[in-house]
Amino acid sequence: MSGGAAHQNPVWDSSRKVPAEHLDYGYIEKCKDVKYLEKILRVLRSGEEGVYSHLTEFCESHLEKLQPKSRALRKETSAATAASFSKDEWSQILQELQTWEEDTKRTDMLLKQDLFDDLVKSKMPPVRGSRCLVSPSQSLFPEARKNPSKRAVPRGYREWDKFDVEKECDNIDGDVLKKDPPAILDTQHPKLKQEADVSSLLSQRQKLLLANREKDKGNEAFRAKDFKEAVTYYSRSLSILPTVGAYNNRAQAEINLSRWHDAMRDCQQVLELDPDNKKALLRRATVHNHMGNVQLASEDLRGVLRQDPYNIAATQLLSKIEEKMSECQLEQEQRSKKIFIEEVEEENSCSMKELQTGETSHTHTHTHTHTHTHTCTHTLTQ
Amino acid sequence: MTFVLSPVYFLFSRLVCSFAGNQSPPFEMSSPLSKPQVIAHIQKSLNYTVFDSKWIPCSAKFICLGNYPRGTGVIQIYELQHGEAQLIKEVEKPKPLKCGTFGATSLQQRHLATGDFDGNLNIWNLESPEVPVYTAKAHKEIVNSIDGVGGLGIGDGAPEIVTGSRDGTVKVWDPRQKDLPVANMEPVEGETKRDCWTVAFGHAFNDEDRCVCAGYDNGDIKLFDLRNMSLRWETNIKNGVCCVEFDRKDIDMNKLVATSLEGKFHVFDMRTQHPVKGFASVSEKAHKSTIWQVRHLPQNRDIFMTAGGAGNLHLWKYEYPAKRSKQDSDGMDVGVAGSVSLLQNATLSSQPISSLDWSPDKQGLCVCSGFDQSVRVLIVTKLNLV
Repeated sequence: MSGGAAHQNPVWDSSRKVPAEHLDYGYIEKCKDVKYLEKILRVLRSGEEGVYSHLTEFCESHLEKLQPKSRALRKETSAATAASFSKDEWSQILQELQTWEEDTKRTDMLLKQDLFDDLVKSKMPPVRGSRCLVSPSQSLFPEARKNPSKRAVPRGYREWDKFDVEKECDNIDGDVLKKDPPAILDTQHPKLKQEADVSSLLSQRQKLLLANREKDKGNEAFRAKDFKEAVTYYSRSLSILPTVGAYNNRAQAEINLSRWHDAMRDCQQVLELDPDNKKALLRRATVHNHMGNVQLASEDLRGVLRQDPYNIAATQLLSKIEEKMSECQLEQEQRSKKIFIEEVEEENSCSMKELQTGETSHTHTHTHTHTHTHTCTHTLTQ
Repeated sequence: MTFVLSPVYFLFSRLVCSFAGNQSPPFEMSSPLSKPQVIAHIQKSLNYTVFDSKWIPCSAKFICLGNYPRGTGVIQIYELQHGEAQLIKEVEKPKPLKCGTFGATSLQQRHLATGDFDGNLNIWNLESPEVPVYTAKAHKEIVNSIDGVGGLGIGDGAPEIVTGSRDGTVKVWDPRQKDLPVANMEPVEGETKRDCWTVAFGHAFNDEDRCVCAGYDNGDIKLFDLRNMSLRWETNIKNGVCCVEFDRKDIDMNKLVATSLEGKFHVFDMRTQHPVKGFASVSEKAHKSTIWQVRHLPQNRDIFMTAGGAGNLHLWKYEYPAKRSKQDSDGMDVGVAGSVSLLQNATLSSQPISSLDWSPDKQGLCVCSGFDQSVRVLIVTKLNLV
C-alpha cells in the first residue's frame, strides 16, 4: 500500500510540500482539489508525519467522492479466497464450476465422436497464394516501387511480336485493382456476409456453439452501439441455428435502427417459438406503438403484465399509451361531432384521422425511444 | 494550527468506525455493487520452467508448455477433477517449448501448434503426441510467439498459424502446405533485424481479409495486411512490445491492446485509420513492472486482463467514447479513443506471471503460469454484471 508513495516521493517533495496543518479532517473535507488530495493521501500513507489510519481512510473516502476513478485509490489486493465470500456465494461458485466441468466433459466426449471433419475440410478456402515476401519497412503503397524499370523500358520490335494483348490487359486490370491504397480499405462498409459459411453437415452441438459465438459478437457490437453490425451478427447466428435469443436481440437492434417491419418479423418469430416470451411481447408492443397500432401495443403490454405485474418498462409504456389513447378518444369525440354536422365523407375523414394519429404518435414517442433503448441494453439475452 | 474537531468530524469518525466494525462480511454489504473478484482456485507447483498455458477448447483440460532443467521440452495436460487439477499426460520433447496455440485447428481435432527454442513449428495430436502431425523448420532462432486463426469456428477463411521469432521474421503457415510459409514478413537485406516478441491475428471476418500484428523489442508495432500483402500501419511505443492482442480475431478489427516492458499498455481503436495519424489510442500505466500478457475475455471483448512482472493481474474495462470517430480540419475521419477503468487487481506471486488464458467455454475461468514454476487456475466472478 505504501510502495507507490515511496516510489513517487521525490516528485512532489521537490515542488511543494504539504504543510502539516493540511493533514486535518476539516481541511481535507473542504478541499476540492483532487490533485492536492492525492498528494495529501500520499503523505498520509507514507507515514512521514505520523500514522493516522482513520484520517487516511477519511481522505480516501473523500477523494473517492470527488474522483471515484482516481489512481491514488488503487490498492494492491491479494486474490480472493473462500473467506472473502459468504457461505452461500462460495458454494454457488463451486457448484457452478462443478456443473460446467461435468457438462463440458460430456461435450468433449461427444465432439470426439463426430466424424464430419473431413467433409468440413473440403469447404475450406485454398492455401494462400504463392510464398509472398513483405518487408516490415515496405511503404504503404508498394505498387509505386514495384518494378519501375519494366514499365519505362522501350520495347524492341521483336519484343512486340511476343506481346500478348490478353495477358497485358489482365495485368492492367490487376494493377487498377491494386491501386486502391490499403489504408482506406472498406472501413465504412465491411464486407461481412449476412450468412455464416458453415457446413450443413456440422453436428447440432457444434452449430449451437458457433451460433452462440456469433450472437455474442452481436451483443458486443450492440453494447458498442454499432446496431447495424449487431444485426449482421445476429443474422449470421440465425443462419447457423435459429434461437429465440438471437431473434429477440436482433429485434431490439432493429428497433434501435427504427426498422419497424424487420423488428416486427423477428418478434413474431420468437412468439411462434415461445408464445409467452416477455421480451418479445414488450418489443412487439414498442414496434406496434411506433407503427401507430396503439390497441395492439396495449394488448401485448397487458400480456407482459399478466406474467410479471411489476415489469417497470411495460407499466411505463402502457401508461404512456393509455394516456395517448384517452387523448385520441377525446379528440375523436370532438371530431365526430364536427363530422356529424358536416355529414359527408365520414368514413374518409375517419381513416385520415387514424393515419394522423399514427403519425403524431410516431413523432410523439420518438422522443422516448432513447430512454427506452437505454433500458433495453441490459436485457440482451446472454 | 491545532486540529479542529468539528461535529461533522465526530459524525464521520463514528461512521468510519461502524464500517470498520462491520467488516467481517465485506462482500455481502455491497453485494448489488460488488466488483468482480479474482479467486486463486487451484495452484500447482511444477518441476520445470513453464512458458505457456492454454485451455483445450470445449474441455475441462489445459496444457502447459516448458523446459525441463535438463534442457528438453515438455507438454503436460491437466484436467479439472472436483476442484483439483489432475495431470493426465506428460510428454518430453527434444527442444524446450516456448509457445502454443489451438487457433488453427477444428473443434474435433483440437491439435496443438507449438514453437520451440530451436525455431521449429510443430503440430501435435494430443491423443497421440509422440510424433508431430506437421513439422517445419520455421525460424533460425527461438519462436517467441505463435497465434492461430481459421479454426474452432473463429475467423472465416483458411486455417493459418503465425510465428514470430528472434531472427526478426514473422511467418504465416497453412497446415496443409509442407515446409514453406504462405507469407513471410522480414526486413530487407541491410536493415537491422529486431527481435520479434509477439504476434497476433485479427480482422479475419470474411474469406479474404486478415491481418497480422507484430511487436518488436525496440517498441515497433507493425500491422501486416495479408489480403494486400502490404504493411498497413506501424507505430512505436518507445519500449519493447511484450504482447499484442486484438479484442477479437474474427470481426472487422475493433481494438488492439499492446503491452510494454515498462508497465504501460496502449489500447488502439482499430475502426478508423487516419492516413497520417493512424489509429487513436489511450494508454495506461498500470503495473510497476513489465506487462507480460494481455488477454481479452472471450465472452466480452471490452474486458481484458493484464499480467505483470510483479506477479499481479489487473482486470480492465474499455469504455467507448460517445462518438468513435470525428472529422479533422481536412475532412478526414480520425478515430476517438475511449477510456479504460480498473475493475479489479490481484497479486498472486512475487514472480512474473508470463502466460494467461481465459477458458473459451466458461466465463471467468482462467489459467495462468509464472516464473515461480507454478500454474494456477483462477475464477473471476461477476463478469456478467460488469
